[in-house]
Formats: sequence, C-alpha cells, structure tokens
Amino acid sequence: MGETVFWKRPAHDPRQVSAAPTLPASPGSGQDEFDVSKLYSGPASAEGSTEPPVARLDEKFRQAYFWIVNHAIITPYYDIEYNDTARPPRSFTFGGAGTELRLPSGMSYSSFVLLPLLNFALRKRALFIGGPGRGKTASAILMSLLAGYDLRTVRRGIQHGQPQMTVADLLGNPLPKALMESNSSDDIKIAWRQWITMRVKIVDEYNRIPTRTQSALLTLLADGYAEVLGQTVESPESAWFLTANDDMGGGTYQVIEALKDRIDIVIKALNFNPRFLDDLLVRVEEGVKPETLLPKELIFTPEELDSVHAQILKVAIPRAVRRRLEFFAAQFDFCDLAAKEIEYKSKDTIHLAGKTLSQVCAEDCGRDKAKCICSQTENGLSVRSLMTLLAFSKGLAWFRGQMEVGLADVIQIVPWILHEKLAQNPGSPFFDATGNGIYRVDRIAWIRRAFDLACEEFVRLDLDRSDPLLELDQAFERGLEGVAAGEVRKRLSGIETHLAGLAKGTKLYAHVHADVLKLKYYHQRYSNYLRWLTTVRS
Amino acid sequence: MADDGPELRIREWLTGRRVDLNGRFRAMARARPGLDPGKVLGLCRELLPPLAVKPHPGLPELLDAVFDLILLHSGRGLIGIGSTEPTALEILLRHSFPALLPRLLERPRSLPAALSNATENMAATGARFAKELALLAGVAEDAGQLEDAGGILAWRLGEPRLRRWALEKASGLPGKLVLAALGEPGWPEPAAPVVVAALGADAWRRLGELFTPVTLEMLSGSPGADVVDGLVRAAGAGAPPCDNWPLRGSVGDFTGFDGDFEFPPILLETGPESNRHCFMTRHGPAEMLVHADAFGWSCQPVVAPQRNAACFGIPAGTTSAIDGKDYRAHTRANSFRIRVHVPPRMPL
Repeated sequence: MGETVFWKRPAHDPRQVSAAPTLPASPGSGQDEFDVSKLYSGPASAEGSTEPPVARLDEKFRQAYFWIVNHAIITPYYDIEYNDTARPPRSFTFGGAGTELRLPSGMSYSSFVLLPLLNFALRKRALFIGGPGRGKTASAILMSLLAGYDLRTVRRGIQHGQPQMTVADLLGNPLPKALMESNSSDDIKIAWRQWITMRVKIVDEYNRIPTRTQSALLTLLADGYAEVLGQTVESPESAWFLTANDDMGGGTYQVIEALKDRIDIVIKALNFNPRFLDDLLVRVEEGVKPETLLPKELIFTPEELDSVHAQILKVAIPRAVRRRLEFFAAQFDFCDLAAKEIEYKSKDTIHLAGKTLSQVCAEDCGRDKAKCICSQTENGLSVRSLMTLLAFSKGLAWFRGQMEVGLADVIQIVPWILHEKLAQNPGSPFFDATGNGIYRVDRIAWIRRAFDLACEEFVRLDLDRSDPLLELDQAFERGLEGVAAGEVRKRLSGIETHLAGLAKGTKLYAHVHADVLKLKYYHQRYSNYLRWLTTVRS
Repeated sequence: MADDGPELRIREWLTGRRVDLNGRFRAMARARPGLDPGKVLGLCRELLPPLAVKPHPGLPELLDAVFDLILLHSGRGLIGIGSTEPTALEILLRHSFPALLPRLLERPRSLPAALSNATENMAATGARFAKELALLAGVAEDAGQLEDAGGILAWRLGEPRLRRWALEKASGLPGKLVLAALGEPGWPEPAAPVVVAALGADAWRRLGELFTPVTLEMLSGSPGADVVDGLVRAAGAGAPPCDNWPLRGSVGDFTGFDGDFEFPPILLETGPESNRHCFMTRHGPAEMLVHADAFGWSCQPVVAPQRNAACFGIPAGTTSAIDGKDYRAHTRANSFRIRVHVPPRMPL
C-alpha cells in the first residue's frame, strides 16, 4: 500500500523531504470544490504497492527545492520575492546607504537554488559566478544527482577547466590501435568521453580553459555535438552548469564571446552568512555530506524530465504579460542617431560602423537621456535572450504551480537572464543621477530597475488598456483569406491615419519605433494582398 | 461438487500466493518496523474467511487487497490494537466488508482501498460511516452506485464540501439508495427527488421537517408523476417572504471542544464568493474557509487576501455580520460560533 506517511522523517533528518503539497492553497484555487475522488483517496492504494504515490512533477520539483534549501545548501537568501496582491510587503530602511529590507508576503525563493533547478528542468545553460567555496560546484553536482546519476559518475563527468586542457581532454581520444590501422579519417574510432552523453553537464572554472578548447566546447554546448578528427558524437538534450570564480576577467583565458553568448542564465553564489555557523558546525561534527544523502524519491527519471520539459512549454504567457515584455525589450536596441533609415536605427548599426553607443549618444537626439532606457546599454536584446526569457518565465510559473506566467514571474527572472546579455553604457546620464551609481556595480538591481522603469512608462502611457495595435493584430491574425478589397483599403487607411497620428503626437521613442515598424509591416502585407486581389479580378 | 469452505479457500490462496505475500509483509515491515507478524496472522484469520464464503473469480484479488489493508493498517497501529471500542477501520474490515462482499467482488482491487481511505478521511465520523456503509449494501446495485452513495453518506455525516457533488450524483441514483444514504431508508422511494430538490434549494433544511405525515403517507401510496413533480417544484421554490428569520445553525467551535477556532471568529467581507453555505472567517491571526449546512460544518485554513470584517447592518452585541439575499450570519465577541439565520419554510 502506498503511504506518504511511511516516508516522512524527522525534520532534522537530512533525508527528510517536505510533505506535499508544498504550496498552500488559496480560496481561489478551487479547494472548496471537494469531490469524491478526495473522499476515496488516501494511504490505501489499488496497486497494493509499498511505494509512495507518484507526486505531481512540479510538486516533486518544489520538494527538491525545499530539500536543497533545508538540508543541502545553506543559503538563507530569499531574493526571488513574491507578494500577495492584497498584502504589500513590510519594508524597513536602514541607515548608511539607505538599504531597504522587504519582508515578502508571498512564498519567496532563493535564487541560488531555484535558478539551477529551473535550468535543470529547462535543459538550458547556466553559469554560476562567485568567489571560491560558495557552493557553485556542489549545487551543480546536486542537479546531476537529481537526474539519477550516482556520485561517482557525476564526479568523473565534471570537466575541470585548467590551462593545459586540450580538445582531447575535453572530448576524447582516437583509439591508438584504430589510429594505426585506419587508412582514412573515416575509419578512425574515437573513445569519446562519457560526460558528453550525460543529461547534466558540469564544466568547472570554464574561464580557465584555453581558447582553442573553448571553441570545441562551444560546438558541443551550442550545437549538441562534438567533433574530433572528423568523427562526431551527438549529445542528448542536456542541462549545462558552468562555473567561474570571476566572470569579468579573473580566469586564465578570456572567454570567447560566442561561448558567453550561449550562457542562458547567470546564477550568483552569495557569501556565507556567519549567523548560520551552527549549521556548519553540525556538518563538521557529524560529517554530513548532503550529496550522499539525496532522498531517492527526489530523483527524476529521463521520462519524468522529458515530461517536465513538455509541461513547462505548455504554460501560457498571456498577452498582457507579453506586451510588457515587448515594451521592455523594445527599449534596448533602438537608437535614433544610429541611422537615417528607420529600419536601421539599431545599436548593431553603430557597432558595425566600429563605434560605441557612448560615442553616438553624446550627441543630442531630443530625448531626456537620464530617463530613456535606450541610453543605458551598448546593445539590444538578441532573439536567443528573448527566447530564454520566455522559457524561464514559463519555468518559474510552472514551478510555482501556475498555469500561466504572471508579470511577477517575468520581473523576477529578467535580471538573471539578461545579466550577461546587456552591456552597460557607463557614460549614460542615468548612472550619474543621484542614487543610481550603485547600478554600475549591481547588475541585478540595475536590470530590475530598468524593467520597473519600463513598466512605469507602460502604465503611464496606459498601454494596458489602450494597445494601439490590438485591433490591427487581431484583424491580421484572422487571416487575409476572403477579406474584400474595400475592407483592405479601410485597414490601410487606418494604418496610415494611425501613423500620421504618431508622427504628429509623439517623438520616435523606442516603443513607438517598434510599433511603427509593425505598422509598416502590416501596411506592406495589406498592400501586397490588395495588389494581388485587384490583379486577379482584372 | 462439495463446497470447499472458506478456510480451505483461504488456505489455497495463501499457499498459492505465499512468496508474494511474504514479500509484501517484509516490505511493509521494513517501512514499519513495529509490524507484528503474530497480529497480522491473527487479523488474517479473523478478517479473510468471511470474505471467502463462496468461490468467485475475483476472490483471490479481493483477498490480496484486504491482505494489503491489514498490513498497512496494522503497521500503522490502526487495527488489531485491542481497544475496547473497535476503531473505524476495524468496523469497516470486520463488519462492513462482509456485508458489501458482492460489491467488493466487482472491483476487488480498487474498492476496498477506496472505502478504507474514505473511512479514514471521515476522521471523527469514520466509525459511523463504516457502519452505515454496510446498510447501503443491499440497496446499491453495483460498485459505482455504492461509491456515489458513499459520497452522499459522507455529506450527511458532516462533510459539507461534498454537497454540490452529492446532489448531482443523487439525481442519477435509485431513490431508495439516496434515501438510505441520507438516513431515511424508511421513506417511500418517490420522496427521493423531492428531498434532492429541497436540499438543492436550501441545504439548511432539516430532513425531519421536510414533510408533513400526510405528505409522506401520500408518497407511500404510489402517487402519480404529476403529484411528485408538483412536490419537487414546491421543494425547489424560494422561501416565502418573512421578516423573522429563525436561527438555523451554529457553525464552528472552540479548539478545546474539538472545533477549529482558537479565538472567537469574525466573518470577513468576501463579496460574491460568500454564500449561505460558505463563509470566510478570521480567528486571531489565521483565516478559515467555513463550509456549512444542516448536516454539519468543516473549516479549512486558507491564505486569503486581506479583507475587512463584514459589518453590513451590524446588530448590537455582534462583532461581524453578513446580510445576504437568502441568509444572515453574525458572530459575537464571546462566542466561538457563527450563527446562521435563513428564511423559514413550511413542511411540504
């Protein structure tokens, strides 16, 4: 008979797993709809198995999170904050730099544990950064153990970056016998390193790997295959965990830009709070090694991980949240001074001309550069960054047991995704404003502030209620088939009127630039369709 | 061919399944080190033969399922503990299962486990649930009906969250079974749809006050469909206007008296979420969702958005009050109960 109670352990037992459900239900969650399935469910099961009942996968992930937080990694930092809508957090301001402490009113999480779990679930590429001894590698090892690998295999699979690391060290060697006997490179057999086929991959201190070996790593990390002497091996969908003591140049080798660009999320390893010395003492005295104590009920099978991935992708992102993201993303790439043509008013144009934004932005463009977010970064957001942002937002919502992504999820995840993606323009007047100097150092706070500023502007413009493109989007999504010429002309006229209104009523701000380009796109599509329609009729 | 007898059937089953059953015992003993082999054997001797009175293709599977229940509950110290009063699960296994044998043999694997879970879930009323479940045995025509009627029984025994579900199911079950589950097995079958309509319209109605003796007598004498339809319509109609709404229920209690409130509760403003059967309350710092009807009440802690105390037309001496369309509820500073008033209705 399956019975959860059997598997409960005392709270101090490191093998104890938090009892499900880990999320308290709220009145709106349908808990009052008590149906008979609840009446007839309980410890006795029809299967007669002595194994505990299978948990929901998001619940299992939450249990894994709480086990790591409670027993494996001492990380008393709840920096992914959620608040109940009706209960604002209490906050306290401390003297000195005026630091604010907030007490979240909703269930909040430690980024150092939650983000690796999301990366594990989403099979993305995470970079742990932070000083030595902060638990970066230990955290990555726990993710491998959650995937069902034994500790010995995990340890053998870790790639330790060091200046003498060769491509063969990383990927594998040709078998000497085959090398001697082969007549062509096609016949060479490679003894591939086992870690290539693991579903969780750990590369420790990746910024100590020589540049050439980094390129080989890039192929594996970005494209999912490895190549040695013309032979290739495919890697399964994997979660990557890279670590670096100091990502800003403290490694032996400069990390190649392409490799940096492939990092989906950055996880900051925070320092140890000495008030938790007691916990350390227990570990010293009792010889506790959390990596040897992972409860087996927390291990995920490959099928479960596939299912998790599929479930996360199904989480919806409502239009209201997408609009906020669109508005935010539009702020970065736009530069009015970058080009004459509207299509090329992008920071890429500046870089291709061998200049920096700070050089171009020094000229007057008629905007308040302390307020406009576009002045704060040297670059815009890549498609890859946006895709990662969408995926992690879904992952976070799924982890929290939500069916769709909320704005709070996006707010919390944005800084970790864009940490390495947005290059600051230190010359921006924004950073010179009172109290903003800290953002030159604290990138998480800076990106969070940028998102807040974008949201404030979005609300000020009342775009939640009056999306200028909503009707056009909806009309276009219905398709062009069967739309009469008169209707097309009406829509074209509407687009032109709208463009005229924008040109007259507002400057070409970043979000207006995005809207204008979309209007031009619609105009072109409708014009082409009208041309086709009239040609066919004639 | 001579009947082998229950003991022989049990012996054959034990012999044939020996290795597997021993394995199950060992697995449970690992999880429950206190599992006593002597007690398990004693319980098997007592509880299994009454189920093996006749040969049946589903019997081995049923014996397997009950054996698992014996292991589980014995390991947890819930059966075979030698208490003077039998526990709810002992009543279920000892008395209800033999009575329910034909239904159990229909679904030998899942039904015993489901009924065991339901008995446990009923907590304080588990023993009554197990006993009254046995009374449904002769009326339920199949295992599905038994399960549905079990849900109605659970509602009557004080699980108001099942009300909506139970009323839906009741309309598809034989009238006799519905009435038996609602504790009125002696009422004539045509009364069932009237009872369901009455409780659907107002679950604060007490069954004992629903019919006059004359109406019950009339329903016993094969009434025409039009008569029953008329009674169903009358039962489902709204209450006649009346200013003086009597007290219909006192919901909740102090934790010291097996209630859920540590402090005198107050009702919270919930707007349209609140109705005569569901209130949001606060007692001290905690908040509770209270479900209630004439059969009982249940409280569940919730994390709710902050709300104000409901104080619409608050009468003197009360700490909170709700003046709903079809109910009034209020709390007092010196009481751990929510008082519910509903419009009076005459017996049919």
